[in-house]
Amino acid sequence: MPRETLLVGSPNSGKSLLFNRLTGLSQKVANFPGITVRLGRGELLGHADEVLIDFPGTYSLAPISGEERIASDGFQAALARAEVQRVLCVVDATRLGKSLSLALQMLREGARQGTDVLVVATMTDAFPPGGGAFDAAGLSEALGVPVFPVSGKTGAGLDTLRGALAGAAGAPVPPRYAELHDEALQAEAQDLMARFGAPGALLLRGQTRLDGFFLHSLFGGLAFFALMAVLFQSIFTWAAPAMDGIEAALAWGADGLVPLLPGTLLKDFVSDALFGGVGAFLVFVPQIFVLTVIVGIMEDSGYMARAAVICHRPLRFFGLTGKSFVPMLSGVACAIPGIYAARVVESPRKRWLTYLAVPLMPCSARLPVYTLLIVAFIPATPILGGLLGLQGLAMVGLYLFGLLAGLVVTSLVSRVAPSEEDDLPFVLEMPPYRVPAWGPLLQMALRRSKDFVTKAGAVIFAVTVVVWVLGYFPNGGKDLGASWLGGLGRWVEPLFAPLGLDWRYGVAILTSFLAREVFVGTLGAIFGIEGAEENFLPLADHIQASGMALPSGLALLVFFALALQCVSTVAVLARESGGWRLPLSMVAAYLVLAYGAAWVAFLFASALL
Amino acid sequence: MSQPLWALPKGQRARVRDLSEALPAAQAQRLRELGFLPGALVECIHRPAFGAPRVYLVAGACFSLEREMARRIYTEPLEESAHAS
Ligand SMILES: Nc1nc2c(ncn2[C@@H]2O[C@H](COP(=O)(O)OP(=O)(O)OP(=O)(O)O)[C@@H](O)[C@H]2O)c(=O)[nH]1
Ligand SMILES: [Mg+2]
Repeated sequence: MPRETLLVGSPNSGKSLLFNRLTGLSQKVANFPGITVRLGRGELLGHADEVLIDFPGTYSLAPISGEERIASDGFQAALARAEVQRVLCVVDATRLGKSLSLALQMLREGARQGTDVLVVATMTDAFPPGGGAFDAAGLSEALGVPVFPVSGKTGAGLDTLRGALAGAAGAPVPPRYAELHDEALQAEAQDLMARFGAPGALLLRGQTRLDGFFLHSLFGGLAFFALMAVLFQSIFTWAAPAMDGIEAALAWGADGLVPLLPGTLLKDFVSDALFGGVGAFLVFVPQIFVLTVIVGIMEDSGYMARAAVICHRPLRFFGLTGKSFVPMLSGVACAIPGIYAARVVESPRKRWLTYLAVPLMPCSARLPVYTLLIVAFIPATPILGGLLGLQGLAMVGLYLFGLLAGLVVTSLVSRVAPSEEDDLPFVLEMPPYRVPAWGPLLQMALRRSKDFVTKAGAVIFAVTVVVWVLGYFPNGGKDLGASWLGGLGRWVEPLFAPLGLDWRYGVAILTSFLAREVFVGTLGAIFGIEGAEENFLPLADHIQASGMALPSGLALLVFFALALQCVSTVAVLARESGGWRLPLSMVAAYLVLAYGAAWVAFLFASALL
Repeated sequence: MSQPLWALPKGQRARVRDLSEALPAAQAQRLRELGFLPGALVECIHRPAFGAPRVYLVAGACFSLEREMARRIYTEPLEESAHAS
């Protein structure tokens, strides 16, 4: 039976980085309190019988909200298991104050339950030159348990820690902790802090200067908007070369490979379903990569916490809190991590309001659809002297539309459904500014992109194949309208006729309720069958040739901006909100909203153009 | 003489006196765990305009607190500064 060690400590103290170093795994690490929301589990490198469990950070074992209660109950339950023989309590050596109270609570728990407790002091590399060294021996003497000074960044001290973890269980906790009551515990924490804490002023000086800028009422606000502008512009400009490259490679591959294949059926399948369907979606992976990297930089530099402070007042007006900014920005990459990140919002009411907003954020799954339609309908005219393109501007407009829709929904709902329950006021630790750790950051972005390709890719592939088969038979791709798919399409066509969309788009919209990107794959396969020519054509060209008018394009964009078309988001929402009521009502409400708004957009645009 | 933490001017330090009775017990406990204990030194580091949350240094770490929280922490001015003025 493997021995288990729990890794616990205050938020942002470096647990996950330490866990990654010890196990070789890659839990998400970022410079914002409350990043880890689910347990991570892994074996100590080279010791399969030593299992480490990475816990979400917590300031205390005494919960202040329902969610924290679940976390602390989870910890107690884990502690009671026979396999768990050790707790590794992680403290931030540079800011002992916030960690010691919890460390003493852990020692008390350990003394009561007969579990060993080891203390690990991280961030020892971050002491400024001349700021003194961390007195691990002294702290260990005072606490009565071993203290290991380490750095997750440089790796210093890790070998000693690894040796200790692989070796004997270690010394038990002094029994005196079992009887320690809360007040004495806090007094002791304060005393230890005074004796072993870092000279705070030294560490904080640089941080204060940066905060003076980023939290400044004028410059801070300007910096915020500038950063957001860079974020959205870069999705288009920085990813463009890679996207063009993939498109060219696909065309080259299709033109080169398809003629070599035996048999018309195989030829058609590979060129329509594989290159047309799945390929159409691969083109968008670079954008997801760029987006993840930029959001990662904001998180790991420590800026995200400042952005939360800046946004707090405005977001409060819309019924949210500054902490909702983090799930909402994550939601710009993908709603699923966004929903998980909503756990940083302690207030239950603000959290479910945040849930309402996250699926409306312009996620990267909408990106393929947006890009496709923008490229098809909006000319690439440069404006502002080439600084921004008309297409980039349209994209910014769509992003703002999604954001605004989210805020309008939450502010309406929070006003229509007021509550009496007392709210948890905003309290957020300001992490120190750091140079982002580039390696883990790029790794995470690569992993995200790979996940996107494998997970979404599998769904897209399956749907594309089904769509292709239905569209290709029974007449061998000669007449799409007379195929099985065409029959099905004509059946759903009345649903989409008010938006000026023909049955091909109707079928693609229906499939996109699995995941939005599927829309692109489905259309790719449909036009692949239809296109008689042998050459690989970008999908946008097919759309231009399909006779869809601009008002319908706009309606389609509005529909995709508002509808909740993502099975995974619905499932995660059900799990996180503790039931199906919220996600299913959201699907229904956002569907009505999306269709209604799309119809209005279509009518307006038809009247004006 | 005590004043709420929210009223502390930027760059000034004060000592925590106690926490408001109006604060729910769990929240008061959490504030104490973060370091806002009676007798602890706090410094106001940033006071952004428009009522945005303010940043306070306590026990070697920085926390931003919004008004609803910071006005329920009572502080008293430091003796030194009382003598000096
Ligand atoms: N310089 C330095 N930075 C570190 C060290 N350990 C962690 N960090 C950084 O501190 C930040 C927080 O690290 P995490 O490992 O995510 O912290 P955590 O304790 O898991 O945080 P939560 O999951 O939010 O509770 C990241 O930016 C890390 O790169 C260290 O020993 N030295
Ligand atoms: Mg973590």
